[in-house]
Amino acid sequence: MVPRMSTTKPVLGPRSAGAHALLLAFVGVGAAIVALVLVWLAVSRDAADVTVFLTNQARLDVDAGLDLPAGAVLLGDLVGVDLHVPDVPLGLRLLAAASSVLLFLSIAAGALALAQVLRSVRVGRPFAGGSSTRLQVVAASVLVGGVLAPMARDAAGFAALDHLGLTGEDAPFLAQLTIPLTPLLLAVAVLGIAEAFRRGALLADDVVGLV
Amino acid sequence: MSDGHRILCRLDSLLAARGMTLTELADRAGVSVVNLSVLKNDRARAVRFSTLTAVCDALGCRPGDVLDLAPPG
Repeated sequence: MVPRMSTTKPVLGPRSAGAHALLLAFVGVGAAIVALVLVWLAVSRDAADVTVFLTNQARLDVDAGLDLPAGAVLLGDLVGVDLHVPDVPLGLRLLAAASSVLLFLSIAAGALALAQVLRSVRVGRPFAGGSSTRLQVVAASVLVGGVLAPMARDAAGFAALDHLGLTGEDAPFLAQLTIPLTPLLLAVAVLGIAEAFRRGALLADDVVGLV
Repeated sequence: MSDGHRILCRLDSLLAARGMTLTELADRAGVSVVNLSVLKNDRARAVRFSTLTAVCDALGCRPGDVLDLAPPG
């Protein structure tokens, strides 16, 4: 008598995977709608809100104006603030909205792709139906939402300060380009999982008809 | 027979000779009826040594009795 193959408890059971897939689908659709609304707002408004940073001097000026108790002081290097800029051209309004739009579009694409992967897990065929490709979409979404969106935010800050003529030495604000590293690492990790799924699909194809 | 091989399974005749059903063999060998059905109907593309051992033990035969090679063409 040959012992039956031992089984382990699934990390993500069919019911749980189905519930998560449904939730992700809702999140994805919701995020896509929010992205469209943001684009519409950028087109229809005549102002834009951008994120810029207070210079050290501006921070000290704010600190002086706050009249804080003795010993208390406003700290922070590059304190971020939202700057409302009126009467800006359409291009700048779209650039100002690009960060949020990219973020929500990436959430939509990532969530819908992940929902598809979880649906495959729910029906017991995790490697079927292009799960690897969908995980690559998730990785791309992480890159767009985590790296490109912040870069677009910084670019909008530069453009808005330039539009306002606040780029001189004595300007109270400055814009700075930042490249977040954590999303880069996360995207690489998801790509690793995508590759594992690709090889899993090859193995799954290999064992079709194995008894 | 397909997938670039000419292996034939003789499970049908072995079962008939012993008056055994596929379900009984599945119980004795500890192999699922689905897998044995795939094997019996020549739809298997590969056989685990453990499955072959279990089937041979249950039927009291040798691997060569279970599998055969069809002539080319």
